[in-house]
Amino acid sequence: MNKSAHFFRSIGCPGLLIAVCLLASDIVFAHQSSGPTEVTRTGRVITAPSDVAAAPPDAQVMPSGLAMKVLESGTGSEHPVSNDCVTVSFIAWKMDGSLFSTSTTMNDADVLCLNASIMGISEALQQMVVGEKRRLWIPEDLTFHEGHHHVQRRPEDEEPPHKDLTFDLQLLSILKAPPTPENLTQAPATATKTSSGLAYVVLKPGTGTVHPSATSKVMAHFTSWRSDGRIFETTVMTNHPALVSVASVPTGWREAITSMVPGEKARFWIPAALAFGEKPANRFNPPGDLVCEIELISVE
Amino acid sequence: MQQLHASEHFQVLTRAYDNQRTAANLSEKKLKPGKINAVHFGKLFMLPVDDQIYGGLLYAADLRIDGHKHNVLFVTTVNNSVYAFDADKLSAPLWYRSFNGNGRPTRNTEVGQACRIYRDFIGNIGIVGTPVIGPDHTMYFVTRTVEPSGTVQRLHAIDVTTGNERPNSPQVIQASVPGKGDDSDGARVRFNPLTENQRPALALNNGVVYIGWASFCDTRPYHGWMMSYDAKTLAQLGVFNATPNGNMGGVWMSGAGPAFDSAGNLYVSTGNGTYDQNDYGESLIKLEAKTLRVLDYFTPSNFNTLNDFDLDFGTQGPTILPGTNLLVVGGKEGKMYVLDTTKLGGQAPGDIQIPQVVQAVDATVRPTISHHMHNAIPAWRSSQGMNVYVWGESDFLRIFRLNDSKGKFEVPAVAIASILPPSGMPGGMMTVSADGSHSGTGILWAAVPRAGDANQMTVPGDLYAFNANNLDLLWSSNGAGDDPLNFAKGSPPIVANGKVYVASISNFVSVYGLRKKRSESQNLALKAHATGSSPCDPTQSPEKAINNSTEGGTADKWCSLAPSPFLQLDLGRTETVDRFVVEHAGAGGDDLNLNTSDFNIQVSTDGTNFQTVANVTENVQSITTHDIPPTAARFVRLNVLNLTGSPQPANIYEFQVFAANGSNAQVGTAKVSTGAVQQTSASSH
Repeated sequence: MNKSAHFFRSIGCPGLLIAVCLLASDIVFAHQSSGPTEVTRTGRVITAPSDVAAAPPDAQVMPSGLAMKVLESGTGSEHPVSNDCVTVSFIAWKMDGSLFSTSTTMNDADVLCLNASIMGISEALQQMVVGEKRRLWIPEDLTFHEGHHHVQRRPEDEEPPHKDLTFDLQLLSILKAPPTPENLTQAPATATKTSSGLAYVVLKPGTGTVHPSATSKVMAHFTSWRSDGRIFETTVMTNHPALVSVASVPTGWREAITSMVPGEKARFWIPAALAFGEKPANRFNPPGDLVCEIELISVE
Repeated sequence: MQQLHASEHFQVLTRAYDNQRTAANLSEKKLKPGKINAVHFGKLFMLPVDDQIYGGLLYAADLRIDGHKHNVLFVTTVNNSVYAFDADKLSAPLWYRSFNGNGRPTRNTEVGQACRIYRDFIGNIGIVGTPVIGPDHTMYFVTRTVEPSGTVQRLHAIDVTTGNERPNSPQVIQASVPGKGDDSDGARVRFNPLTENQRPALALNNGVVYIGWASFCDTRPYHGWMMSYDAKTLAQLGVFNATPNGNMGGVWMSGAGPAFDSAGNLYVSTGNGTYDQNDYGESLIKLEAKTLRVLDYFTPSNFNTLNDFDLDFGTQGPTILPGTNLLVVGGKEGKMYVLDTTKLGGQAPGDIQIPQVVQAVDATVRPTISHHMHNAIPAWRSSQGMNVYVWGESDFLRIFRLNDSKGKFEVPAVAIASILPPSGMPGGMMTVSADGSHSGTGILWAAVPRAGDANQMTVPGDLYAFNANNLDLLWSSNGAGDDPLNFAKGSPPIVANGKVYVASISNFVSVYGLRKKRSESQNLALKAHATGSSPCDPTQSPEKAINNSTEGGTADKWCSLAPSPFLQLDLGRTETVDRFVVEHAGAGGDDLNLNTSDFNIQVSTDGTNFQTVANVTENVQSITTHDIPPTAARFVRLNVLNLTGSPQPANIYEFQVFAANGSNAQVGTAKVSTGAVQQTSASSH
């Protein structure tokens, strides 16, 4: 089947009337912040903006080379920070005006975590508030830059096709990450240090009296940060604690958890040697020293 | 829906049980949530095979072999071997066949150059796709052999009661289509048996066998292919190439099979690849039965982004939700696409033409790494509604429930499990067992990595059982003796008639079920006396390496800092042994960098004169399997070697020894006897 014809049929255009539909149809993207929007198949056809090829003079140009312009003001007051995740909608064009990519219109989809997104998008989002819509002119170094290619990229993969892109981006909501602690690179003087090199500060005393053993299973919330402040993992954003087998976690966590009692929340500075090491065998685990906040909910 | 051969008992004759690929066994009367606990449920026995298992397991009930009825478990290995085992007891195979002919399986070093060193598989790459069994007791599968003429792929049709070839079998796989894409001579693109990986499960519907192909690590030139064959004559009926004027677009689906609608049309998904006028990379495609003509398709609106970021759409096979026209499928973005099979919708900006997209894997839990979905989404209509189960990478297992009146899933998930697997691939390999939709009968079984990332490596696995209604954890395999060994990411667990069958790439199938007492293990080491180099700590004595447990933390292993540590077992009497399994540091939760790199295994009948039977260097795996020719041994020694001048500590959680006799289900000459370590891996492409 001719794919262009298929698309127009999919939005309710009989084959003979495709040209008419092209002019009259009206695709609407569900990115309003005031609540769910019914998506109609009689929306307008997306056409590239007239300034798709280059940022206009009134665009804000950042030192990175990113240029952007506010299209619609937002309703929120808070800006996402680098550890946050967000929901967005977007349309992206190549500089020649051809459509490159769009978000889904479903409000349940297109969650972006800023630390894992295209650099230009991440930079722009940190300037935006909920509801705001901006047009971004993103140079190729901030789009498919090697450092932001997918984590499975292999040494001999072809280079991703570098290209400048123009985005219309709307911030729909912010999924807040736990606040980044201070002193990520060094435990404060007030921290208690153990003989292994672990250091900790109790943030909330516990209510229980029994410490987990090295073979216990515990229910816990936790967040781990790298030294540079990036969150490695957190159960807090999804608000769902995990059942942890103490025997199977790295040495630092093992010592940390067995030092706690139920109800306690503490922050631990874990040297690399007690975490995943400087060269983790699992490439998904972070190298180096880590800081971890653990809230021990129960011992199973 | 295809009526497969008759039995009053449940059978597993195709991947995920049925052609809708629900992965839900609705006929399970014995396994109920109330009985799935450490007291009543666990491993019963292990069935040894000659190599890694990537293909899914199949099961035929009441099959008459040599005059006796058996429930039969069929196992394929990457050594192009096929086994038929009695599914209910430990015994030698009912039959075994090697389909190497005059060739040998491809080796991983011969393919996958795009990865430089290809470790999605390590070792042999023979039978990979899950076979399918037809109503006339015929099993279909594809072998891959290296022969003097080059690499050859063949479609086989065999009698499941004997393993013998059916008439017209085998058929060499050959095909070409008009096109100017990769590997074209300018007019036609020919099937390339070297670069094509027969990864998805075979399927059978209305007398037609369907086969699909993708790649090894995106090593070009390759295309996604589907072919159809007459099940009787093995004549080729149809050929589909996903990217005839482009490249890639593999049909891999992490080993899942095509789904079929009631009209017999089939649905497959494709990975990274060209998408344009006649090329269908990053798409869900509806193909006409037999001819494989494209009837319809869906391509996500961000297909360019998916291609640029290696975010394959087609990492899962589709699942058609019973009683609906809806189909669900997920990809590397962790999104579950809900499609209408009667109107897939093509490609449209914003994906407005499809019923729903759900961010089914929560990217916030580990926000900087991948959140792929693999294999397929199990679907079970419970008493509360239609549940689908999503366990993506680096996230919790989740239930999404369909709102039938809206034709959409409720968001967020209605239940979330408590287990967060290690960072990395591939998420859960799942199946559901239940007694219809009856409340209190549903169990979600899932195999996941226990430690490490199963992509480009082999990692230990765990098996979990959850209440399928609320995801309460019922049972896990971390009890003593229940270890499923290395995780088989190509082969999900299956459940049939009160037993759970879990493949591994440690060359075993573990069989679990209800038990009145703990089963006697086949591991001879459990009755041995262990001695060895002085332990790091008194709690880490040599006996800890033969206590049948890896779950007790650092006190559950033999550790030694001696310059050249050794562990010696006295089996008590001379046995004929042929297999060892070593569980290194990573198997018990230690840093994988502590896995024993260089070691050997020696045997002796007198405790004085030792013969080296396995010699291993540069091992990185957490669990290693070592097959040797049957050899007399009373004493078995594991020596940790110092080849680099810097001593290695010993961190051995388990050292297992297996006999080469009937109790070990040995198959004699059929078994690989190289003495080489089977360092195996898992795959993503």
